[in-house]
This record gives sequence, structure tokens and C-alpha cells, in this order.
Amino acid sequence: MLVRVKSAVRTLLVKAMRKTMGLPHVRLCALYVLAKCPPLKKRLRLVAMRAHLIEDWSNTTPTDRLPLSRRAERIYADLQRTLRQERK
Amino acid sequence: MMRIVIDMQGAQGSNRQRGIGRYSLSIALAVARHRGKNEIILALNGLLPDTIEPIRIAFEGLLPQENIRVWQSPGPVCHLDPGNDWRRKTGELLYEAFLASLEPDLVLVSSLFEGLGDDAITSIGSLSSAFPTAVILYDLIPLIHPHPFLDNPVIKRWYENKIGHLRRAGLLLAISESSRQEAVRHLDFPDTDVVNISTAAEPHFKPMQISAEREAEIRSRYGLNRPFVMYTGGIDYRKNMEGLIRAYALLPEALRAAHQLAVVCSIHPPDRTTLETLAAKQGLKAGELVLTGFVSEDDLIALYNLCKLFDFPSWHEGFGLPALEAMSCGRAVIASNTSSIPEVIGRTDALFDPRNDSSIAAKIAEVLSNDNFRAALERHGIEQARHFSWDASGKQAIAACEKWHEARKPAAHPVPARRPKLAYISPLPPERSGISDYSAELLPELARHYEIDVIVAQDAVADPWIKANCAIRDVKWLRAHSRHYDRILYHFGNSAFHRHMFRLLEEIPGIVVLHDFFLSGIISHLEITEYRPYAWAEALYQSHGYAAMQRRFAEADAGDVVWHYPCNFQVLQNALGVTVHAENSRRLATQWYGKDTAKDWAVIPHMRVFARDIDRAKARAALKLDDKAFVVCSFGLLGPHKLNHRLLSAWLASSLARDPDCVLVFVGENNGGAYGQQITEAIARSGLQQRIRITGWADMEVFRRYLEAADIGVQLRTLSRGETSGTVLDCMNYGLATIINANGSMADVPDEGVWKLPDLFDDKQLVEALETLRRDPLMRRHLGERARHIVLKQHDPRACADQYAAFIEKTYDDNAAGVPGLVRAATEVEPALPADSKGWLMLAEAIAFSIRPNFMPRQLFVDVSELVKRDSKSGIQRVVRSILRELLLHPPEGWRIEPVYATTQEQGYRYARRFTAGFLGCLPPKPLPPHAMPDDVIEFQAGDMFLGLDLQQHIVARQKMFYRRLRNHGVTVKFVVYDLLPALVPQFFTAGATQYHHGWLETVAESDGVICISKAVADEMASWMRDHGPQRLRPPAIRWFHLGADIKASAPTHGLPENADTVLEIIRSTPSFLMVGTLEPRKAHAQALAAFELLWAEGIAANLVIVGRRGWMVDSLISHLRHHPEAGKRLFWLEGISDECLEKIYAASTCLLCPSEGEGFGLPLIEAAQHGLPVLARDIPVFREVAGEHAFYFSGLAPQELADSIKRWLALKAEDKAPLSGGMPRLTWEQSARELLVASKLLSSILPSTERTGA
Repeated sequence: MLVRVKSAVRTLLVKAMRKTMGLPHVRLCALYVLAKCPPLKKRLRLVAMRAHLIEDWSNTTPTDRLPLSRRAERIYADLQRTLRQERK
Repeated sequence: MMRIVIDMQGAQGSNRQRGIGRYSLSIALAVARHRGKNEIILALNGLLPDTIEPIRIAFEGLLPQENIRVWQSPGPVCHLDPGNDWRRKTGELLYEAFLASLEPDLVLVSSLFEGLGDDAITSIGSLSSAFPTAVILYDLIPLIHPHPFLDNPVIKRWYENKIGHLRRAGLLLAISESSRQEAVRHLDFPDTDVVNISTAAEPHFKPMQISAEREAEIRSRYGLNRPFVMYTGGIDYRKNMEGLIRAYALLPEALRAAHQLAVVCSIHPPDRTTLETLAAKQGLKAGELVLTGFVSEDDLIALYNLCKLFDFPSWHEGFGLPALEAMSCGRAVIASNTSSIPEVIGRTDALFDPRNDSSIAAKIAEVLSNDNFRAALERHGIEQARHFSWDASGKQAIAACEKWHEARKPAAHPVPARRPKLAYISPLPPERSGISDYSAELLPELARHYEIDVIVAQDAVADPWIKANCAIRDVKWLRAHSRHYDRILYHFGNSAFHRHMFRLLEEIPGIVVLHDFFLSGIISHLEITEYRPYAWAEALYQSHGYAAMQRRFAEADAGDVVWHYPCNFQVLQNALGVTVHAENSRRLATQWYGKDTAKDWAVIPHMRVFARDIDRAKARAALKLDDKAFVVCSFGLLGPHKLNHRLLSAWLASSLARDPDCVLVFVGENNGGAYGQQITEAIARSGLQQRIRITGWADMEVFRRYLEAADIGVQLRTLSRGETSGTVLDCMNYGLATIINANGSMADVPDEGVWKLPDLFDDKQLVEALETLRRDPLMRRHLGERARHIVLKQHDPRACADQYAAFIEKTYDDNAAGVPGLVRAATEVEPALPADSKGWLMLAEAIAFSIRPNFMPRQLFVDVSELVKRDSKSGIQRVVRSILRELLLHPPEGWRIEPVYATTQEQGYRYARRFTAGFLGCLPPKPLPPHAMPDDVIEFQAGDMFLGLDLQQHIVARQKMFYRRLRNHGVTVKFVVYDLLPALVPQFFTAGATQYHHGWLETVAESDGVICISKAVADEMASWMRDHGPQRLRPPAIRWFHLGADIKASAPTHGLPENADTVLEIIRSTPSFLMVGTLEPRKAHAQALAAFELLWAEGIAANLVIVGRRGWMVDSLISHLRHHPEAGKRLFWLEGISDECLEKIYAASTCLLCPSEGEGFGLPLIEAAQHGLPVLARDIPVFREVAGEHAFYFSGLAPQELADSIKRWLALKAEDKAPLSGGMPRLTWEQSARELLVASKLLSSILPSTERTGA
């Protein structure tokens, strides 16, 4: 029962958020506020992520969740090597 | 045929609910419908994840899901926040690199003007102009009317930036003729490069009958109590709302009193106030102006159909879709005479001047008062709307792209001002390797194109030209200065001279010249010499999967494994480009890694400096060969793969052996082993030692003299490993009539230059070749001349070096938009990011995610999360072990099987490499080196599949978001469902288990497919989905398969308890009923025990044998079992025994008893059938499905009912009438795994060999 209630509340919240954020002006206002207040933005993202409301892969660094894949590690090493040689 | 990649961000960004979003989706659908032979790929932005599934649904059945590709950039990137600048700029580079990686003939951008307030990224030509771009052009209104649209400096900067990108597009597809003209006029685009593809209204905008109730309801909701004039299309400056209201106020009062003006669209409070104030000021009475606010799509269609007149007074439009929608609904439409609107309306008497209020008012009055005119407009509207359709627009878009693509000339590559700097990595003289000699020959010619540094891992370089013309560097230097080189070229061969190159290539990618296709020799050498412990096993796994790795440990002779597997996958994958010396290598690549592997490889023939001043007489004199002797030579080290014995026996069998003038010479060192001995003995036996020679190791001088002196060269091979034969070229170069067989790369030698025997020739054919050439000097001469011509034309070092340069330049050009080019460009982005910023980590991850490696087989990820942690030896674990083993050892063609696992601590899965190596017995005697077989994070791509084979409910629920991510990115996610019992019969489970199961089922219900272990479970799953599952437009397919039962193939556990013999003896001596399964309430152990107590009380001799671990909610049962007076006499509980012990108990028992009240499959029934053990089972659907008529069934939950059934069964058995189980249909685990693959749609059909045994 508890699971269902939680699920229903989560669905409602997501729907409400999508609805409001789908309106361009509301979205722009929200983005403006968030841009002016980075801690608030970070906090909101964290809460949303923990509640599984957003898929937040793009906004957290890989090491916060999983190490890089083998290929990504190589690309990272390549980026770092290029940076070192570039900025010498 | 073209490959068109459509960037779908127009349907993903903040415009997705507006006209541009709808247009983007509709035109993409239309293009896909009318693609003809063209291939369509959709590119989606992973930063907008919620929009991916709706687009996948929209294209379901129209495009393969694999053609919907997702890329991902570090976010957020929206333009409004200046803090996003670095991410946005690198995102643009990544976006273009991703598009380039799809190798498009044309990229079609659905909407370029995105990303102001959302995470869309669009750009053209930021990284590369490798692919041409077409853009849908909606309008240029802000460019033409900067005020007020670009008054905000942030928006102006964004818009100007996008205009800059737009100017770099090759083709514009305008949505109207008016927009087309604007592009020509304001962007100075050539007339031919802008095409009007028009637009259309959605088909649901049509005339419809609105019922009286519905009309009343809508009118009441929006306050429309009179006939009304309607406008829709948003509120902004150019929409001219003020003009419309002022004009409406000019209408005669009676006309106004009889009508209303309805503005139907969402409206912000400040705009509402402004318009209402204006209306009041103009004298409009209350109710004459209605501002509805946002209306749903259904209401909008109804309002179109209900309005008396539709008025569209906009000053400037890209198209004017609302006017077309209104006409499609059969309404009279009047509109402005500006921009695109006249071409939409198609009738001049329906137009007015939008800047003149009187003109608008006059037209409104005319239509409202003149019924005939209005009716004429209504008829015209329907007719005019027919000229616009998505199908027509889609066809026009495809036609425009095709025409433009055909006419396009590829851009000429500028000639660089200086020679690019090239790092040349190869062994060099004095190293004794064919490749070092080859390099010494190639370098002087290649230096015409490049400034070359040679990179070596040797103490000194002997070649004088190299020393004089190239800087000689070591590997360490290259690592520190790789950025200094414009080009990197590796020469790989199958010898220890190349061992340092494997790691180097991983770090510093370059072009690979693959001299030997098989690299297994050097890779196994690295492992055997402990230069890189476990390197070979790991390379076998990387290149060929776990089955190959298992062979390395299972085969008695490791040499067979070296011989069989090329082990070169990682070199090929890390290479920017590959060049080989013969088509044969390309064929081998296709054979081992799939059809597209070698499509971009270059074939550059081996080089030979054309032989001049050939002096046959002088050479013969030096070699003490008679001038009239007929000399047959075979060049190179002797060995079984050179087939020297075949040449010897053919020569001896031919007339040449009887001719004292004929000589046979093996120019090279004899084989040091038994083979060499056999050759020597055969020569001795022939008695022709004077005419058959083995020269031993020949230096270049001697070697060349034999080439000059010989009449025929014979070069034979078998079991070629992809290497090229230099000696064949030597023979041809010196004009010898050369006999070869078509083995490996020798099959590619042009037929006209050699006498080519079949790969598997017989001695007669070789004898015939020798004798014919001996007889026919003219034929020898012609063959030799043609061979020399081929060498001159195709193998000249200068020509080969030119081919190298062309390939290197093309490859680097292609890679400018690949990962190396992207890495370089990203490090140059301003504002620069500190090197230790986490942004670089995110970028690396995004690059790895978005851009596929060179080639990658499809992966089947098999979830074994529970098995990795522990083998609980449950029935499910046995299934997991058995299926996993079958999949690993017999993978479906084109798929790579990868066991994976997750935990509750991390999001995402890891490769279960270390577990799998142990599972397959592939661990070395020493502990695995720390770097070997790491459990890395999985790398997935569209087209892969995830199969939830293991049951780890809490982990699956925890990974819900990760499955969504997999699905969003085109990985199919499927789960094996063993049963739904915790959901269906919760009384048999703890509350926690039921809750976990619900969470698990909810996750499973979001997947692409469910594969149940029986039809009965599939039926239950379908029923659960109907009652409890989410509403989905792409619901999971529910299929089923059956389990196997051959314990031997299930990676069985071993070991017997100490008292095994005693127990087995007791079981054999008396009728024994065996129950197999975990002790838990639904298995009805309590009922069975009570039934047996009744039987024992009646004096019936029977044993009850219970095999299974303690489960849950069985405390009293356990206590009862442990303290039962018959325990160890007629009652046995064997807890946690091995599969080996269970086998013995099956064999010793009399009957399998299955009183379980619910099962997913009933594996013990099948196992019993294998042992010919009769079955007494409860009458439930799944047992009927599995056992059919081959079991005795009972019903009832009371002990007495079961006791009676056992007695009946014993009576039947006494009369030999009890049903036998031997005929029960059953599968092996191999067959079961195959059924699972078919149910997963990984295999199209079950092979005939998988027919069930039994019935």
C-alpha cells in the first residue's frame, strides 16, 4: 500500500513538474532563478535525483556514481595528455 | 542511396509542444515514410531524456529502433546561463563528432534555433565540415525585425550565433515560398540551395459534427454564447492582436452585438491585461472579446469547427499554420496579405492589409454579413487545404536532398604548406625482421610526403639513410610529445619486435599497417614469457569471447589455440585506420569480426624495387650451375607450412627427376626439427643428392643470385595466418615462371603473372605445372614478363608510398571529426577549463558514450548479480548457471556474451569478468594479476541487449533508472520471470519479500520484454500486466521458454556427505518418495509430512526424503523435522547437498512427490523424468504443462487426501499401471538456452537439433 501511495505521489509530482516546466515562460523564469542561485539549483537536483524523479546522469560527475568505463578512462587520459602538451 | 541523419532536437527542446516541435516530428515521419532506398537515422539528445521514448514510440514499426541513436553531452548547456559556455561549446564539438561518426551523406537539422532556455545543442561546422548539413528553415523574423525580438542582448547573442551556423548549412528546406525568398534575400543563399518543402495540417483537423451537448459544454466553458470570430496562434508583437481588436471595434454595433471575438491560446497575465484594457478603450462591451487561455487539442479542433469566421491578422509568418488548420476544418478564413500567408490562403479576396484597421474590419464585416461569400470561402478552404500534406512535404524534402547531394562536388583538400610531421613506429635494421627491412625500403619514399621521426624500442638503428634523414626517438619521448605529430603510423607484425606497440597504440592512436593478420603468436609470447601475464587469455576474451578463452585452458595443446584465433581485435579497434597487403586480410577480418569490419581498410601491395641488370650467366657461374641446367628453386625457410615435401615428391615423380639437366634447389635454411630431417632423408633415398640441394641460410647476395639463375620458382603454402609472401614477389620480380597455390594472400596474386594451383592441389597438378613449364620456354618467358610488369606497376616503392600518403591523409581527414580531432578541439575551447576540473571527466564519459568505437560486436549482457555474490544452490541459481554456461560456450552468431552484475551501492552494471573466468575454469595457477580481467563499468550501444537472468529483486528495483537509460539509448531490456508467486499468493511469503517482488515487477513491467519459464507463468504475467502494469504504448512482449534438465551441463556442484552410502542404501531398500526444493510454505512439506505420518501409522512402508535448504516461515516445520521420531529412519532431510549427491538420490528413489501449490516451472519433474523416476504431483496448470500425461496427479490440501493418493499410486505401481515419466518431453540446457534466445528474438528459429527428447 505504502509503495502504491508513494508511486502515486511521485507520478503526480512528475506530471505537475512536466506541465509547468513545459510552459516556456515558466521554464525561463525558473531557469533565471536557478541561474542566480546555484546552491538552490544543486539542492533541487540532488533531491530530485534521490527521489528518482530525474535521470541525472548528465549533471553529476562520473566519479560521484561509478568510475569511468575503460574507454572513457583512455579518452580522459588523452584529454589530460593533450592539455599538458598544449599548455606547456 | 543516401544515409540521412535527422537531428530531432526540434521535437525534443522547449519548442516540442509548439509548432516547430510538431513540424519536426511530422516532417521526420514523412521523410521516413518516403525514404525509398535511403537510410534514415534519427539523432536524439540524451540531455533531454523524457522526450526519447515518445519519439521511439512515434517511429515504432517505421524505423528499426537501432536507427534511433542517442548522444550525450555534459550538461546543463542552455545559453541563458553564461556559466554553461564551456559545456555548450564542447557540446557543439561533441554533437558534430557524433553526427560524423554516423557517416552521414547528409545531416538534416529539424530546428537549428534551439538551446536558448533548454539543453538542446545545435551547430554547423564548429568541428568539421566533413558532412553536409541541411536545415529546416521556419522563418527569419528576428533577423528581419530585430526590434523587439532581439532587444534582449542575451537573446541577440544567441540568435546571431545561430545565424552564423545557419550560413554554414549547405541546403535550406524552407516551410514556405516566402521563407525561401527570405533566405535568398537576407542570407544571400544561392537560389538552388533553398527549397520550399511546405508544410501541412495534421489530419485530425477536419470538418466534424459537434453534438449539441458538446457544443453547449464548450461554449459554456469558454463563455462563447454567440457566433464568434476566432483567432489562434499565440500572442506576440507580430501577431497583431491590437490591430485585430481595434478593427473589431470598428464593426457596426449590431454586427458586434450578434458576434464575439475569441482569442484562443494561452495568454500571460500582463498580455491579458493589455488586451482587455485596449478592448475597453476601443468601446468593446463585456463579452464581446473572449480570451480563452490555453485550450486542449480536442477543444481547439471543436472551436475551429464552431467558429463562424477565422481571422489571422499577423504581420509576418513563416507559414501560418493556424489558417491552414481552420481551412482544413471547413471554416471561412481571412488573413493578412503579407509574408507567407497569401500562399496559404490562395485567394486574394480573402486577404486584407494587416496594418490598416479599416481594411481588417471591412473584410470581417463582408464575411459576416454575406452568407454566399462566406460559403464560398468555406468551400475554397477545404479545396485549398488539400494542396498541403505531410506526404507531399516528405517527398519534396527527400527529392531536394537527393538532388542537392547529386549536384554537390566534394571540396578539394588544400595542399599543406609544409610536409606534415609523422611518427613512424616500427622495428628497423639491424633488427632481423622482414618488417624492419620493409620499413627501410619504404621510409625514403614516404619522406617525400612527410617529415618523419622514427620511434623505436631498440638500442641502435643501422640504416644510413634513416640516420641521416630522420630523428630517432624512443617510446618515452613519443609519450611526452605525441601532440607534436600530425600523423602516427604503426607497423604491426606477429613477432616480439612489436611487443611495446600494443600499450602504445591504446594511449596514442594511429594508423596501423597490419603485416600479419594473426597476432596470436606475439600475444601468447607476451603471456608465456610473463612480459604481460594473462595477456593472451585476456586477448582471446577481448577478441573472440569467453568460449575462445575457455579453449585456451581446456585444450591439451595450446599451440592449436594460437593457430586458430587471430587475437588482434584490440589493435584493430584502437587503430584510426588499417592498411594490409592483401585482400585476404580483409576477408579474414570479415570472417572473424563481421561484414563491415574492413570496409575502410586500404590494401597496399608489398613493395619491390624493380630488379634491373639481371645477369643469369654470371649468377649461374657464381653458383656453379651449368648454363643448360633447368633450375627449379623454392625460396625461404623450410617448414611444413611451406609444403617443401610436396614440391620434392612432385619433382621426383615428374620427368624432371629423370632428366640429368634438371636441378631442384631449396634456397633457405632447413627446418631444424623432424620435418627438416624427413626432407633430408627423402632426398637421400632418391639418390639424387647431386641435383637436389638445400642451400642453408642464404645472405642477400646468394639469395639474389639464385633468383637470377633460376628458371622456375615454386612457392607453396598451407594454413596461412594472413601473412604475405615476399618470396613470391621476389620470384616475379626476377621474371621467373612462378608456381604458387591459392592459399591465404597468395590467392590474390593476379592470375596472369603466375601459374596458380588450387589451394588444396594434388601432386598431379604440380607435376603437370613443372613438366609443362619445362617443355615450354615461351610460356616461361611470357609468364615471367607479365610477372615483372605486375611488380613494376603495382609494387613499385614510390607508387606504394603514394598510396600510403593518400590513405594516411584520408584517414586523418575522416578522423578530424572523430575522437582524436574532438579531443584536440575540446582542449582549445575558450574559456579554458582547469585541467583538474571534473568537467573533463564528464566530457570523457560523454565522448565514450556518444561515439562508437571503430567496430564493436553486439553484446548480450546477462545479469548474474546474485551468482557473482554467492551460489545459493537454489533452483534459480541452477538455471542461471546452466543457461549462462551454454550462452558463454555457444554464443549466437554476431553476439558477444557478457555476464554483468550490479549492486545496491552503485548505479549501473559492471562486467563480471573475474567471476566468469573462474566460472569457466580459466584462472591461472598463480593469482590473477591485478590489472587482468577488470570488472569495468559496462560500455553499451544501440542494438545491445540486457537480459535479467538472475533474480535479485532489490538490485533490480535499485537499478530502475539505469534500465531506463539503457532503453533510451536503444539497448533492449528483457527479464526472465521465474514466477509471480509473491504477488499472487502473498500468504506464502514474508511481507518484505512481497514488497520487494512488487518493486521488481514494477521495474520488469517497464522493460521491452518478459520471458517466462513456462506458459503458465506467461499467462499469469499477462494477467498481472492487465491488472497492475503501467499503461504503455510500447508494452513488453511476453514470451516463454522451458528449462533444461541435464545436470551434467549445468556446471554442477560436487561432493557427498559422510553418511551418503548409508542413507542411499536405506532409500533404495524401501519405496522412497523424494521431494526436491527449498523448504517454504507453498511447497507443502507440512502436508506431505502429515500424510506420511498417517501412512506410517497404517504400517505402510515408505520413506519420505526431503532435499532442500531451509527457506522462510517454516520454523515449526523445521523443528518438527529435526525432532521427528522417524528422522533418520523413514524421514530424511538433506540440506544443501551437491548436485552430484542429488543425482544419486534421484537414482535411488521410487517416486518424486511434488505437492507444491505454486511453481514457475517444476524443474524436479524433468530431472525425475531423466532418471525414469515416476512423478506424483499436485494438479496445477504448470505441472500439467510440464508433465502432461506422464505423471500421477492429486488434489486437496488435507493430509488424508495426499495419503490416499500415495496409497492409490502405490497400488497402481504394484500393478505396473502407474504413469511412467520417461516419455515426459524435456530439453537439454543447450536446447533450453536456444529456446531462450529465440524467445528473446536473438535467434530467429529453433534449430532442428533442439527438438525435445522424451515424447
